[in-house]
Amino acid sequence: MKNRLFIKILLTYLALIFVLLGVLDFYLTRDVEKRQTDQIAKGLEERAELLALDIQPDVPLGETQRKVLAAHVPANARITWIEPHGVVLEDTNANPAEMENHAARPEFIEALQGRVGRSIRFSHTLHINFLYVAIPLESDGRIFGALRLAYPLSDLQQQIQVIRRRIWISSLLAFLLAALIGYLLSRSLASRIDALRKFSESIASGNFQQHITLRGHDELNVLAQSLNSTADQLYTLFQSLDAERAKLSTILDNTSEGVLVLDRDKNIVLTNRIFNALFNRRFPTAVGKPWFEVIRHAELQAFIDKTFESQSSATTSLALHDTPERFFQVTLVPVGKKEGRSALWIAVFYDTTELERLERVRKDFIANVSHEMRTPLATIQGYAETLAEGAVNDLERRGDFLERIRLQAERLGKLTGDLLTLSTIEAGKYPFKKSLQDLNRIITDAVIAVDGVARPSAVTVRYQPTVSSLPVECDPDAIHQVLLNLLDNAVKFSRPGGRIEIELRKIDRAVQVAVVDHGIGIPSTDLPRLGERFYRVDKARSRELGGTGLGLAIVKHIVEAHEGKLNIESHLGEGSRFSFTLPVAEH
Amino acid sequence: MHRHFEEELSELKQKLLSMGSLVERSLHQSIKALIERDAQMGLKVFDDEEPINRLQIEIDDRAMRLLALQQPMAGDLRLIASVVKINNDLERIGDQCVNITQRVLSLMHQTPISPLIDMPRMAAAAEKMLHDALDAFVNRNADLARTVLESDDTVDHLRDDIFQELVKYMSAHPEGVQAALDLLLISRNIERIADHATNIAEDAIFVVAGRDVRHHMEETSKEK
Ligand SMILES: Nc1ncnc2c1ncn2[C@@H]1O[C@H](COP(=O)(O)OP(=O)(O)O)[C@@H](O)[C@H]1O
Ligand SMILES: [Mg+2]
Repeated sequence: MKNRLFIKILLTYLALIFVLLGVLDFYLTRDVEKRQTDQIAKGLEERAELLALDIQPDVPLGETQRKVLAAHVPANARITWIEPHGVVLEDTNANPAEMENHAARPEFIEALQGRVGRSIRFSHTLHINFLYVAIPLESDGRIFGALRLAYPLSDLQQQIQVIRRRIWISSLLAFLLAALIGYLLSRSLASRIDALRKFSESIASGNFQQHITLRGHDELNVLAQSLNSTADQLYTLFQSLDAERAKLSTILDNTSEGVLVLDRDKNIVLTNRIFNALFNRRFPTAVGKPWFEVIRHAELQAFIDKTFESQSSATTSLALHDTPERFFQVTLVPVGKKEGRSALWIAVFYDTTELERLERVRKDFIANVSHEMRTPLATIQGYAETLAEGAVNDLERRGDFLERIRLQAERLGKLTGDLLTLSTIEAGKYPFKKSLQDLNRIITDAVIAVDGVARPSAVTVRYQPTVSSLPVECDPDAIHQVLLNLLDNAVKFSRPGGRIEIELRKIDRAVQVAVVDHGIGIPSTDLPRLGERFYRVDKARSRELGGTGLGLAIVKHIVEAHEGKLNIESHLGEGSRFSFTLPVAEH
Repeated sequence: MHRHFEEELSELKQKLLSMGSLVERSLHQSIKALIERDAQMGLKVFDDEEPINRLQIEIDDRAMRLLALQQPMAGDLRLIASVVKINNDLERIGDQCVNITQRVLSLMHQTPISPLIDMPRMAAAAEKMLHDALDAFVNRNADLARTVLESDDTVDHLRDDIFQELVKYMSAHPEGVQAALDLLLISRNIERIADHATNIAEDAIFVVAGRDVRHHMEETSKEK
């Protein structure tokens, strides 16, 4: 297979040489044969001419004449005198009376017409070719017979055999030489063509960074040259394509949206990094796979099916069942429409988790505010109506009713106060009055202030200052509020008789204040949402304990306004640690 | 005819994965209903029950038709057989999700046992097992399937822990017995789901082994 070209060239070449030698042999031997025969015939003719001079018409040969004729026999010539009717009158080798009529012999017929007759015939008695030459016997312009000389060609045959052998031997030598040259030539040709083939194959397989050099200076070299420049051009072309593609995939991988490209049969053509992070974390080489093997998401599947059917772009929102749950807006757009069906579909996944979260916070907020206000308002309304309907005059219960109205109004006041604080801080309009303060003193004040709440449930708050004074730059009222809220929570969610500690720790240029309790703790799933307005682990319990659900939100905002950070750690059933940092004032 | 068979097989796989995505969604929603005490979420689970059952019957029919009409060879036979088994497991998971949701709705009428203890962790583990088992099946990844088999123990341990905790809770809070019982049953449901996910992972391994066998046969038949 590999050497077919080589063998083909060689075989053709050899066949050509073979035919040439055959033709040569044929012509050469024929030529030699003809020339030799001519020469012999000429000799015979001359001899016959001489002999004919002695022969007279109607006169039988004398004894001397016979001897002269017979003298020719050893020279292999047989001499026959034939009269015009074909009857043999004299013959050197046989008895004329026993010989058959010669009238039909071609050389004899020729001679009777006055020309020299010649013919070659095979003698069946002697198994040899004979050359016959007959000349007319003339006297006074009248032909009275023919004299024929016969000569066996066995010698000539031998001679020709020798010549032929020579021709064959030299032909064979020539053939071998030609074959050798042909072999070398075709081998080099074949190997050069093979080199070209290999080269173009490797170009076809994408290896452009190579050149071919061929021996010689013929058309194959020109071909090699042009293949080289083709490779060069392809190389530069592919380099720029590669660069383009790298640029594209870099852009795609760094966009904040997930991108998925499907072909018309919903096989995956391309995905980017974000998409893989969303749907295909474990097997990121999704290209070529059918979509349903990669996207196992009921809504998305239904959406893609429907959009493919409609053949026009569409957008939908969906949630990814992940922890934490994530939300997406997906737009699927057909591109490259052909015969009413688009060749490619591009899906873009836009992460709306944060938007979704804000939206939920906003909705919750409104619902929560209304809900929180409704109960006290309803209570106030109820007691006010009762009073208006006559209970004003019931001196015994009037005080109790008014006290209840006052309590609910107070709660409403606290709620609106908290809301107001929160919204002014959020709007950046809270008048923080920062000055140099001793953190020790603020903490001690807060511990004293919370004592009234802690005492009924026998909860103790412990704080042991390690330094006499700890200067920080802050708004003392605001930080007091922070500590009060944290301590209040710690007391509320501690078990009766529980202990609460306040810890101080210095971290770089900040001081960390931590309120640690050993109460009920917080489930880990709730931790991230703590600090959202109204977010409570257990709404009923919080409300029962007189909470508004705004405490932590206010804490978070105040701490952030002081360039600090609120940090919550908690173990369910074991307790919680709420800590915040404040920058230390340096002097 | 062979081309036709390949197409039908691919469609069968697609249907099974649709079924998988529906069941995964149901599981997620039932767990979400439990954790967030979200009745709305629970109703969605009931909505999915019907399509899941319909899809299960359709997949079964398709698989049987393929088996009867095409008489597939070793590898494909294994694949179709495991599709039938996985289909069955998925449907059972769907049923468990419905059971969970019914108990969640009943829980909502009772004062909550504020900490759900390790229930969210156990549910998340079962969810991941189902997801990974299906991933392993689609991607013919036996290693991933094996990790699913290993996680089954984790789920069993969590179930035991939850059981202990709930028993303790019940003796301390007689008024919360009903709620605790509901949670106990839910933990049983989740455990069953993990078992079905384990079955699916085993089927995934079976298919991978089957593929090797088929390759082997193709080669020997080529040599003939
Ligand atoms: N120390 C704590 N231990 C346990 N849970 C806490 C603690 N502090 C706060 N929480 C949780 O965070 C919720 C929000 O707290 P907060 O914003 O202060 O609102 P409120 O105290 O009015 O309930 C509380 O309802 C409670 O569920
Ligand atoms: Mg509070």
